[in-house]
Amino acid sequence: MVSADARDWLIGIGYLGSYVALDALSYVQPMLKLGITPWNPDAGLTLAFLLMRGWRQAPWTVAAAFAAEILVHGAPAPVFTLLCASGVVAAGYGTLAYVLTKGTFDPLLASRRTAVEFGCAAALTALAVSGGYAAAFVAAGVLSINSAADAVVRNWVGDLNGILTVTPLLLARPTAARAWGALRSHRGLIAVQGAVLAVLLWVVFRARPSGDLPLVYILFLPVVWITLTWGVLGASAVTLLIQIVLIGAAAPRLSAGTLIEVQYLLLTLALTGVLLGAILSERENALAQVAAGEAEQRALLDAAPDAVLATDSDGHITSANLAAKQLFKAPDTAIQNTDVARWLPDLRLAADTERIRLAGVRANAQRFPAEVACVRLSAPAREGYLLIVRDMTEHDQAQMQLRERDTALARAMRFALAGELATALTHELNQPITALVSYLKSVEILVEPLEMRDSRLIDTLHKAARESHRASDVIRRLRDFYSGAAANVSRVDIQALAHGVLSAFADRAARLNIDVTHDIRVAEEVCTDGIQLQMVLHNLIANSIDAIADGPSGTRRVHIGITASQGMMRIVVEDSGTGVPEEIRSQLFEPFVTSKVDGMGLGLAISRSLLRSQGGELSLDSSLSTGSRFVVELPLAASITKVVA
Amino acid sequence: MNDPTVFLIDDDASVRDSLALLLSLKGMRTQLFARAGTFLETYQNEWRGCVLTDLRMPEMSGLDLQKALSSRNIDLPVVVLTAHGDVQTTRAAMKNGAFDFLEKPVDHDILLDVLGNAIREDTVRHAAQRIEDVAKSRLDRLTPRERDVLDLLVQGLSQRDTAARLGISPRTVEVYKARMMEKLQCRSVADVVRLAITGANTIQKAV
Repeated sequence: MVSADARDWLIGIGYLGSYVALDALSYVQPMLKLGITPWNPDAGLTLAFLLMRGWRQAPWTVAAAFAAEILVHGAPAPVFTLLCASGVVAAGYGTLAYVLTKGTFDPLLASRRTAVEFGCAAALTALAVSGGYAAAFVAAGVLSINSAADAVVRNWVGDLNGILTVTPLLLARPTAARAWGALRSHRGLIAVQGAVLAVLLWVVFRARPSGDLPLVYILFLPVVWITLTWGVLGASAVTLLIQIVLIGAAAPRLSAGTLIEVQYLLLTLALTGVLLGAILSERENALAQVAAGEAEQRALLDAAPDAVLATDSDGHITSANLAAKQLFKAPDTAIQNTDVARWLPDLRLAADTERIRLAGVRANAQRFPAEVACVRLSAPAREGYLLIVRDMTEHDQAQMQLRERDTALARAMRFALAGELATALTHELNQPITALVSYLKSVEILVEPLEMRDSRLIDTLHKAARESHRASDVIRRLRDFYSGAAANVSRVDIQALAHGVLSAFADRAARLNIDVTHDIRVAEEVCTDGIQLQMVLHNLIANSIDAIADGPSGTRRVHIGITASQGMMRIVVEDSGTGVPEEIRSQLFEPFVTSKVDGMGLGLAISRSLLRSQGGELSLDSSLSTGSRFVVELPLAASITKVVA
Repeated sequence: MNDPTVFLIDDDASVRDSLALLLSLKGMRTQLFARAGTFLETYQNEWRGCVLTDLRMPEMSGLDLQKALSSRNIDLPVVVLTAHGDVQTTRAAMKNGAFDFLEKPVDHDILLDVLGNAIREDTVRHAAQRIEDVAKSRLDRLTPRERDVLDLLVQGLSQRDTAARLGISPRTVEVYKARMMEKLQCRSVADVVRLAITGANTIQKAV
């Protein structure tokens, strides 16, 4: 492992070496043997180095520039001047790196804004550096004041060209692998582009033996073409190539004036390339975002539980999501471009509609109940309809089951109510009948010793007694009919049963702001009479809700707890009401005893009768200081499998 | 009140009145209560006969009355007469030791039969009780020493063995035995043994 410090030093030395080497290679047509040359790739290297490594690495630039002055330029001025000049270079590009990295600088120059900012800042900094550099040599007397302006301009063009050709390529280092992959997969295109570039370079630099280069503008064509294909990197790469050819091969044959003119042109070319590349990157990013957005919307639609169909204004389906294909049991291709009437024959495409119920048709001609919402698309580019279709088969079945269950429960409730009434009636009527037959018997005994009795008297008394017994039998039969309903024991899922009963009260509880909680600790199925248990729970919860409906809001609570152990199930229904009034507590479970204004007083009586007929018990836990707690204890029938065994 | 009486408990005034009339015409003494609680409060140990009670009554039901009677060791036979004759209450009443269970409106011949049987049962039970009580009161009169002599004699020990076991002379045993037999008003040892066993029954029952 190399420590961070050592790594800094290695990179710094590498940079220094590269700087000197690049400076030496591009040391063509120097002005007065100073570092003022037509193309300074070392400036581009410096800016890239400082941007990537941080402006604090600027001392390396001083060293690099100084080394170049000594080694390449042959120490054209006193050491102090050279140091000053090197310091100017380091200070200028260090400041630029500092300013750029302070903000949100995108090293890939992927937007117009970044590209323009980078171009402008680089141009200004290069100008300042050139000015300072020239000033240092003017001050030392090496450069005459007259040629100073010319020197500044030349140095500026050289630096800026160096920056625009080299810096973007070096900054793109993180994406090098991807770029390399792209290059490898487009070898043919690159070969063609390289060939065209080579031919045009040959035309520009070789075909005209004279010293001027009037055809340089031809190079705009390959630069624009390559930039359009490869973006900013392409622009930098191609201008770099052009610079290398120009400086390496053509420069010796050109006059200094022509070279500068060509550099102006190439500068324009490089700037154009960078800007064009930035615009291109921006467009690609935007397209990628749109594609990602579309993919996301597609995924959203496909994840939607409802079928979604898009149609044109004539009702031809243009697209369908995954749920639609599943709903209509048809592959994608079978839905697209078909008429929506094939799938929803009753649908009238009109303006926006609420959800409507109609029949849908699957691919296998099977019909199913559907709910459809229709949204009209009225954008000029996209007229048509968006249809949201939901399969209501399961919903309808669940509704039907719910209705059936409610009906069964209501029927059982009525039956139990009639049974309780009959029982109560039997008791109330048998009392006077008992008195009646006793009186009749007494009369029979009383008249026996009388002399003048009519034989019809005894007969009549017997008949009267018989009729009384007949009346008693009638009501007894009535009672037996209703109380004869034997428990219908089956496997019952207590969780589902309790939740079913609770859901029946959900609306009412929500409306009355009642907090209904439950703690059901019976996971497995148990053997009991589900309908009767439902009735009991229903009664108890209804009582609790009635008891707290008028209580202070915020304290209205009902809790249902169910536990089972050792063949006994225990259900507790608690509420936060005022509790059962003391005066009716002892008779609470008798029929017709109630604390409710509009109550019959049969609910608890029925519930207790039902539970007792199954060997269970219903009781009021009177230990509570507030509210009431009813406790159901019910022996669970042995499991059916055991009974069979 | 020591004559056999039917203690009729029913919250319905007409039922009470009519049954009382009928029973009195059949020569039975009746005592009426509208509440089970009232009966319990006024109950006297000497009362003989049987209880005829309804099951469904306010405050204290027939079943509760049965429990209260058994917890107070009142052994009057209880006949339950109910207008609410379902299987479970019948079972509960019988389990609580009801003498019989009748449904309203009742066949009067059956009712009179059942009541007669109940009263007879009570009389027999009471007579046995009386003999036991006499035996016990006589046994209570013995001194501890006389009691020891009695116990050993009942076990079949001879006079001499008894003397040896108690560490006294046979002569003294003779004196104790004579005094004991006089107190127990027995003429023979056989009488003494019978009386001692009857007394032991009473003691066992009390325990």
